[in-house]
Amino acid sequence: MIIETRRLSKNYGPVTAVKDLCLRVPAGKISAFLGPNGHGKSTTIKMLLGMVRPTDGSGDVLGYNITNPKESIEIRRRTAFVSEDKQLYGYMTVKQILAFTRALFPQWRAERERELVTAFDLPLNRVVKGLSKGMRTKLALILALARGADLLILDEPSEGLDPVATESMLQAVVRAAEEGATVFFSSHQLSETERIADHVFILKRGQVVVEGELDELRERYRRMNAVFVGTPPLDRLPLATFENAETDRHTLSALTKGDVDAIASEIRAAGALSVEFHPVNLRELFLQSVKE
Amino acid sequence: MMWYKAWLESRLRFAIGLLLVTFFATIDVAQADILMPRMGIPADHFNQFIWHEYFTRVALGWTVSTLLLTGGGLLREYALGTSLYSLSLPIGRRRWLAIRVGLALGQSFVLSLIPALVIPMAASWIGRSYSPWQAMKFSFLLFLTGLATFAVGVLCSSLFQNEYAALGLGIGFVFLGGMVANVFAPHGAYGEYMTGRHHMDAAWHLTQGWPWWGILGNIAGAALLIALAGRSLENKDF
Amino acid sequence: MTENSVSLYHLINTVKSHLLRIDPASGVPIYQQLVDQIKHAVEICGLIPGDQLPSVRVLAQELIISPNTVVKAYTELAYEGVVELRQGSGAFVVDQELKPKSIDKLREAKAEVHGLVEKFRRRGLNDGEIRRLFEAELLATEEVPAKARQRP
Repeated sequence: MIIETRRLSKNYGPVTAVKDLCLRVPAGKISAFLGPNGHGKSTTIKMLLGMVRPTDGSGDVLGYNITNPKESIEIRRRTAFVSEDKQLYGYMTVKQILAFTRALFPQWRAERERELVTAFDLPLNRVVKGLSKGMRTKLALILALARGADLLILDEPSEGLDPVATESMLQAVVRAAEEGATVFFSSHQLSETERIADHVFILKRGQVVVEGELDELRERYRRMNAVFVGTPPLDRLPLATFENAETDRHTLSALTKGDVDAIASEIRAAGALSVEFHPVNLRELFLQSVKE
Repeated sequence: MMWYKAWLESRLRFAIGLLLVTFFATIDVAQADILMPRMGIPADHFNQFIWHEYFTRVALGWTVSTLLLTGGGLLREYALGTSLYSLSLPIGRRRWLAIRVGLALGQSFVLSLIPALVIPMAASWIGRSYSPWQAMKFSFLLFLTGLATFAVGVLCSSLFQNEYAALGLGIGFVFLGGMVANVFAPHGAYGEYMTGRHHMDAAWHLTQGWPWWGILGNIAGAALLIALAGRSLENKDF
Repeated sequence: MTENSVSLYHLINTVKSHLLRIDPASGVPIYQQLVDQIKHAVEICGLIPGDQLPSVRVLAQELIISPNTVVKAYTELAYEGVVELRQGSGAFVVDQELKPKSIDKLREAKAEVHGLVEKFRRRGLNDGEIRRLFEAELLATEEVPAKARQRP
């Protein structure tokens, strides 16, 4: 596991941002970290990088302890982080900030930097303050990707980007993954997440409520629609395998987990006239999982 | 590169400081012939006049400029939004502070030497002479006894995001310190060593030379305050 | 399939959206969609034996999907015998009809079935009974689909 947390918690006074978080992020994969706003994604990332101190619990990134300041520096030596705001030193030019960052990473890949600067068409002599959000994101990406980092942590990478810039960003991320980097990103864009994520974590109120390989989740969950003669007899149904069953006159709709054959026979035994199972996409799974 | 970044961040403030110090150092020298009689200083006691200027005008200009130089840092970056980038780099928070403080110290020292350069020049323009070496001694004294004020500025900029709060509180401390000291130990004793306006005056009078205790006290106090600033930054949640 | 059929290898590299169209929001695993589409391309001779599939890096970047997904797809295709993974070179489409192993397997099995059927007829069973016996055996011991097998 490239990231592992053990009951990681953070309280800001009376507010609980993260609670008993047990995250196990696999190395070499692209993992998505999803959840509604304010449910602890950014706080978790900040704890992993030593920007915020956990109230309780512990964690390791790349084998180093996140709460130890010296070890945290080692984490940051091998990690590249792109924050949601992507704010960079406004008074530096593109060239200066590249030089500044380059000096801190002995494994810096100069040709990759040159390639990306050309591909993204960044004006080297312009001050960062004078860049649009899209260009700043591209710059932040170059600063992250040219580092040769083992781990890429991206907080809402496509926030504020137009579709073209989003494509460039996703492509650069996929390329980094192909070269061996582990990617851990949080996002609201479920459609792009569905394309590139191998592994998914869904966060609700600071706790992981769903996790697994995306393909495995696609096979585990189904949207079931069952039609009954009268009102669906909820008391006779195996609700343990359902999420948020909804009834409408004589139909029952629910998100099911697990063996569809077994569930189908139980539903039929309870008197259903017909049972249908449909594949579920990430958006549906997400919305059901974070429903209050 | 980190020194370069600190320089880029502070060069405007340094330039302002340069102007301030130069202005305050020379503002009265040009009018020495009018001011000296008003102050009751005999015409041939030019050295005494300069000595007085150092303790008042120059000290004021230097103190304000120094406090200006202690601004910036991680907390200011937090207000601007770039702290997440800085903190994602493999650089410890105390190191960030150390570099900023180191540069500011160097800049502050340079500013303290400026009067030693410009006063003799200004003096020669009005037909007087003043030894640069004598001025430099005062410059060193100014710098060394101003270290605590410097450290107060560093601490403020590590506690408050608003750049004006840091500057205002720093100046407030200096004058408050001076007023308190005047109440408890007018023109003498420890209080005077730490303040910006009269520290040198008191120090000089008391010891007739280098006020080693005052200087050591300043250095110790400054070290303590900067250590506190470091600790505060280390513990902060960004 | 003739030698003149257009290899869509070039099209895969440049006009991906026309040949390989993946729908990430359908709920069907992306690797599965790739496997199905590549198998279909082979069936309609869009891909001919000997064609090299795009490298993992290229396909991942063009479709903008995880490289692990491409690896999964190629591995499954190799498992099913549609492509062959050559160390250091990549994935190449296999000539299904010329695969020696499957021909021998089928030939052997054909001979054994002939033998069994003759044996049952000598015992007095009629053809209808023999057919039902085979069908019942196949239904009762249905093959576990490839998906459920242990994947690398």
